[in-house]
Amino acid sequence: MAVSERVQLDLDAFVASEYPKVVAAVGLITGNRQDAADAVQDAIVGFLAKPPTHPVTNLAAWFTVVASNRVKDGYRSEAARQRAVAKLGMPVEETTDAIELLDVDVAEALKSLPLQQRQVCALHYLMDQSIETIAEGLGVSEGTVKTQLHRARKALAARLRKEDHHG
Amino acid sequence: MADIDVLLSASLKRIAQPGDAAGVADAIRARVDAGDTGTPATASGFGARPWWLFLLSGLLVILVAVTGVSVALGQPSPVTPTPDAASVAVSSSPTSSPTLTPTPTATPTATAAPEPAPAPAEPDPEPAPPADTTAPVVTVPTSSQPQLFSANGGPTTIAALATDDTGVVAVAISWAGWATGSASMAPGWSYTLDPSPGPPVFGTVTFTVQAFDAAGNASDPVSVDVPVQP
Repeated sequence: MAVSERVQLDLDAFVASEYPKVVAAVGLITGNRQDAADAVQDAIVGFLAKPPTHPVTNLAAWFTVVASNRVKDGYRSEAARQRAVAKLGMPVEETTDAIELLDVDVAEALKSLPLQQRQVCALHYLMDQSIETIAEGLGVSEGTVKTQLHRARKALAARLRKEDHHG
Repeated sequence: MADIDVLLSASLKRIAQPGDAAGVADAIRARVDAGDTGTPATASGFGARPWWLFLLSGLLVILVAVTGVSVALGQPSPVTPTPDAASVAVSSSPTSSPTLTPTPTATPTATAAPEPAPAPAEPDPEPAPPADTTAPVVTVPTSSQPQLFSANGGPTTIAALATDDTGVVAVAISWAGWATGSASMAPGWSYTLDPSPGPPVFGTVTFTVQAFDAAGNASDPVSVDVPVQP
């Protein structure tokens, strides 16, 4: 109770509506689905324990970035990669479903992006946030977000085309 | 490009695995009430520290270290060899000189005069000192860490403690956050940063400090996150 008095974060509402998406985004960004939930909860606890004096307008984006900055980058670990593919439930060799193959390619391509681009991708494509909202939430310029998104999109597109040729 | 947007949006939504919200709110409340501070609310701005920042600070640090080495090499040579040469010269010519008044008249024993030449021949090449492979150690004591950056707080100073068996020649500091940059710490190892670019919306400034000795050995970098208060 003491918590909700101190901050303008409706914890129950946030957890019910945004939390699952934030965890999904952090898992996607870091490739470390195991630690994603813990990292998001740590970020929320930190926020509540010592709220920033400046109002955070886009909590979902903010928690996503804070948590994904802290999670050990699962993409760096081959073991984690194997787990991630396994969790997708689509052994690459066996699936023939076009959609599933595409998803595997996208997941693979995403790995090649720098953290910042992965963050913007998740916020934009997964959480459907506009460039303006992302920029506002992260306290960076729209240009920064646009640039990151553009680079990510270009890299992903190129990568997916390449995968296509192989397949 | 529109196609790829649709494709990515759909694909990422299929791939991503939403978190399970059950019981999370209560668990979080319990943690906060128990005094858990979690990840600092001000932690980490957008994106991790960019790789090029490390590269940049690394280059700067190498530059500083190299300058330090050349200075270190340049200074001792005139100091140490000189007395050596002098003592050799004196001891090699004793036969004639002690009694002779060292007057300018070059007359005395003509034979003795040309002799002392051998002195410079052996510049005693100091047996190369064992290579210094011990890296310095640097820390940023808690008491020297800025507690907070504030828009109205003015310049903030961060100080480091650096030690090395042969002496620390440089301590490089870099920072990332609302502003990024790098510098070499002032002797005594402190640096004052003026947050003039203005306050960020949120985040931290991450200071990274690294010490170097004359041999170019680098300490492990030490990072300190300082919350920013707009």
